[in-house]
Amino acid sequence: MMEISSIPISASHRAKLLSAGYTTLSSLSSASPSQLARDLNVGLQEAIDILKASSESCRLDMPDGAHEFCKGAQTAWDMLSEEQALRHISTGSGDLDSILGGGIHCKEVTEIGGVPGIGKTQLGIQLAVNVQIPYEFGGLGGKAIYIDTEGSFMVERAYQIAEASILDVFDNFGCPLKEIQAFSKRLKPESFLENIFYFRICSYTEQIAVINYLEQFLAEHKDVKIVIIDSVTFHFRQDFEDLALRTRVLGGMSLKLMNLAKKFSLSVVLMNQVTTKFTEGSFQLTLALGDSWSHSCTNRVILYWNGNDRHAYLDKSPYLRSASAHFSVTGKGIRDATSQCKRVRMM
Amino acid sequence: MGRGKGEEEGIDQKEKKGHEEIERRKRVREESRRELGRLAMAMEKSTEGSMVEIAGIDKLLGGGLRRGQLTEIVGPSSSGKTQVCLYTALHVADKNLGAVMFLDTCNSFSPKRIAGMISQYSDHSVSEGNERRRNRIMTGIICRSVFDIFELLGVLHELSSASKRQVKNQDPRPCLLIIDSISFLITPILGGKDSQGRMLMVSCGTLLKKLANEHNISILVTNHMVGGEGGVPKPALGESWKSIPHAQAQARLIRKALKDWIPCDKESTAPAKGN
Repeated sequence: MMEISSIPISASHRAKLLSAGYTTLSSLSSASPSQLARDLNVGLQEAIDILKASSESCRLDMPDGAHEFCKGAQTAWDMLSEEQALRHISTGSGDLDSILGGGIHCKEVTEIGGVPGIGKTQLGIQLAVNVQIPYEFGGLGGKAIYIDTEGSFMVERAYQIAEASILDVFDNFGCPLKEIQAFSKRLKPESFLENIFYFRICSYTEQIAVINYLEQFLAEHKDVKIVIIDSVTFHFRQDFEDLALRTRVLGGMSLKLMNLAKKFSLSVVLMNQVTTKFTEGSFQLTLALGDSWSHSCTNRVILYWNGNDRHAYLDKSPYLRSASAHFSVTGKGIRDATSQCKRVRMM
Repeated sequence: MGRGKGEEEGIDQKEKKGHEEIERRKRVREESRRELGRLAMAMEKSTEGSMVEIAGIDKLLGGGLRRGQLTEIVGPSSSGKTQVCLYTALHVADKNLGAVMFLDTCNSFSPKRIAGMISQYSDHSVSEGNERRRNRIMTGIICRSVFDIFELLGVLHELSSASKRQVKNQDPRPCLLIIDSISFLITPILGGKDSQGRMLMVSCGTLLKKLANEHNISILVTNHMVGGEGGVPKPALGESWKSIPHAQAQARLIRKALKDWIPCDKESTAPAKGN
């Protein structure tokens, strides 16, 4: 039998339950809401909530069928076929896509870190545009959420990137002219901008609030396929005196993001900044937010300068080899470093 | 009703079986403790560059040696903890030792990777077809996402009651439970003014050990590292958790060793450092 400690209620409620003498679930199941409210000295609605949480915990003990002992579990075989049916979000650069295994994956949290000016925001905007490429042209046909904490999102740049992306898509697929005309009504840069939901965040409390709100928002907007947070670090670097609290808050935030990615089958992209760390006798560049944060993403990509060239390094991935790719930021957005012409590799 | 002598004999038999079972478990625990010690020494040696055979992991991670124990793998980011978990799942499913449960908290369970590892480690002496073998192994691994400590406690309770019922069923009994990574679930609630987080963590650990012991399941959890005194990294989750796992494998050693053990395509191309 599960004890009171295992019910998802707040600590103060738990303390009140224990001091009122409710130590086991069975004692709770026989209490009525008004009686509970009197005993605990809480409002009636709170008492009802507590009883609901405990009865849900009770239901888990009911006998079920064979595999149902883990509802929501799947065999690896089923997951493999599901995964193979999912499309990836292209970054615009063929080389970058190939080290990422085709692009940014859905159902995963990807962290992108790098020094200032390397192109994190550019990549974010490019992804917000590329997720909207229609299904017929090899994209996901989804919308994007862009959470801007630094104020670096520029609408004119997004328009420019959207325009270039549309032209590339048409070139890529060698469409006959009448198809282009049919699609060009749908595929206008203005409609691309319409499909990016933009949130401007000015403090860490706002950041936490918007991530809490995302679940409701995503339930209403099921076609969102990417959530970009640029950057997740900004508001957590200056204001926090209590580093332990920061670790807890960030941990809770990344759990929620993982949950959203899995539940709504979308990709979450987090931009991170760099800081210096003193290890092994010297100062080294490392991603910000500490050791605990480095574990809270599924994939990690580090953008860095190699001479005058921009490179991306896949640092963490469950199944891909660590590799580097060369890319560039052009007037049209993120593109391969070497290709000068409009020919983009078909995926 | 033929009671009396027959019944007594029956009870005697049961007692004897119970004693035998306890003796067997003690032996298994001793064996695995010794084996872990040997492997720890082997891992130390391997940091000097010599290769540890895969047979070594097989012997350690195969079902019989670690049943009833909670093992923790700890290590810095990208040191290969998830790879060890995937490989273990694959191995146990391959040897048909029972059902494998994978609880994934950070969306890093990769069926593609398992399929890749299967084709890498196909045992050519066995005549089973590749496709059938892949199907068999992959259907033997069950994965579920958990993002909440309460959900985890609920799942563990479900697993416990299901295992009790399973003696009647013909379905394969769970023999391996992997939680990757448990520290990711616990970090948001640990610390702070009240000790609720620590209480939940300890009750989780106790529940895991009880599950392992009662149903003879091996449990593997991963933990990450945080900065400790003087910049030396230490395992996360603190002192209260430290005493809970039966065995702990430090990935400081694993990091180098794994690259030799499991060619899991992780090359160590170091990036250029910033400007």
